[in-house]
Amino acid sequence: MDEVTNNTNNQAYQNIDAYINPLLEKVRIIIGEIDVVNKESSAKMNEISAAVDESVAKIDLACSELDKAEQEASDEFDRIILEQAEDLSAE
Amino acid sequence: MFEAPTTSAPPEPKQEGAMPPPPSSAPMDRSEAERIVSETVIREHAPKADTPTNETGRDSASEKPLTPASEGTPEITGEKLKADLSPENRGFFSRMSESAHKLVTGLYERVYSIPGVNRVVGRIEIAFNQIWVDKHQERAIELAARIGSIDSTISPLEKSKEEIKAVIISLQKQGIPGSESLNSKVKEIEGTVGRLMMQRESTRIKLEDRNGKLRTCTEQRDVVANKLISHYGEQLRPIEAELDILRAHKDGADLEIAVAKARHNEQVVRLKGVEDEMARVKEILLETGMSEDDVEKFEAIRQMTGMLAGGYQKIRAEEESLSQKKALIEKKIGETRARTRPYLSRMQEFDRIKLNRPSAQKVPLNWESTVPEVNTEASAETESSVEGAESREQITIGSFIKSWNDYLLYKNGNRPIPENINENDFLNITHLSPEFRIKFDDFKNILENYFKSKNLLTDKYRRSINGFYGEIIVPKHIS
Repeated sequence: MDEVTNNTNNQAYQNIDAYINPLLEKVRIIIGEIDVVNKESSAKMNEISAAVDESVAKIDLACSELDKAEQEASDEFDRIILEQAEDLSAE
Repeated sequence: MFEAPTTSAPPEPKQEGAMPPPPSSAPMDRSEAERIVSETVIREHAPKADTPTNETGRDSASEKPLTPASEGTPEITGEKLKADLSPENRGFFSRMSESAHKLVTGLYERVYSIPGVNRVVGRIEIAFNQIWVDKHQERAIELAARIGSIDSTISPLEKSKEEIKAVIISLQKQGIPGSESLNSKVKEIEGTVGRLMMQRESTRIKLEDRNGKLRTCTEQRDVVANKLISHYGEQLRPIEAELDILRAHKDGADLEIAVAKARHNEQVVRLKGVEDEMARVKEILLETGMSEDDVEKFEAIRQMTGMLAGGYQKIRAEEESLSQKKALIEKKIGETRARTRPYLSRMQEFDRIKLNRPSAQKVPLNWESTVPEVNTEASAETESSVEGAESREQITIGSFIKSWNDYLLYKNGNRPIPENINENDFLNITHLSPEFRIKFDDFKNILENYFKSKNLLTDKYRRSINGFYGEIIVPKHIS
């Protein structure tokens, strides 16, 4: 009796394996696709991030140019203001 | 009997002698001097031809001149100012007279007392202040008044001289002696008038020199300001262009995340389908008499359970990673925007000061906020695809696009509108296939980001998408 049950169960397990294996394959394919999506989106975001860094660097450079121009203009204005004050106070 | 006029010099204008132009016959008071100066000096130097003025004819800045601060501690400002000056200007400042020190420290004190005022903006405020024109004008008025005073002295002397000459002629005609003493009086008057005319000429030269100084200072100031503004404009153009590029990158990141989420949602639906089939297999195994523990130990089941969990985990991890990358991108963009904001608004400050009119809008940018936007979408995005994938049925992207375009044509009387989707462009940007199956929520999310990246995300679009959902998706369940 036990032997009959065991044989039946073994048969059932084999049937289930035969059913599950294609499902496992299906999941493998989905996971492969998930990897592709992840790789693509990651690459795209890294690309965007690199482009952002590039723009930020250009802006930083332009801002430091403006800082320099401001410094030079401030010194020029100081000179004009001081000379004018001295001139007007002299009389 | 005739009384000879005094020939002593007038008290106000002191030394020197005679030169044309002819003196006026009436004495000149201060208001007359002001009028002359106004006509000759101020017209030349005060607001330029292109400078807008208000109805009183004075530029608006002159209504609120920056006057030297009456309170405060000039010594501290003097030290602060010295430290703030270039070595060359510091040397000049140290050699300046005490009154010049007082004047400039008062002006700089006022600028330093304004919190957060930019260095160059403060300088421009001072350099363009009406006080300089006023002070030059004040000096010019003094000189013009001096000329008027000389003229008013010369005029009676000339009159007396003519009268004496008439008396001399009369005496000579009558043969009365004594005209010699009167002749010497005439010569004495002529000497005095000569000295006064020289004095007048010397003062006139000073007045012209004063005009020239004001003109020179104004020109120098304008040259420096124009050079700065021109340089600013040149440098701001690429900055603004890069800010636009950054905005496009931000929109691109939003779109990329929306697309990834939609693809993940589709994968989750498929994983859940497998999971359901696995649940049925487990039920069959339980029916064979296996215990639950034994079922879970079943090799194929264990393998499947592990793979499904791994699949979900990969999706979750990627979505978290994408969110972090997006947050970092937004942080960089936000910080850059905040850094550029003062430069962009400073350009307006320059114009405001130079044109002497108040700034209508302090901070104008094509970007709304310095703080990275509160990511209202992020909270929705953080709901992982794994949890929220099974809300509504999926249909292909191609069907959605066709239905959307048909709906817009129907609503707009067969007239193409910007919200119509160019399928090739849409699929190219999103890298999705037309057969890709997607839920309406994901389609809407991608569509919003697609329109945002094309600057087409308008209220009209929002009304259309809501109408599309209410009129097409819900009632007909298109497929």
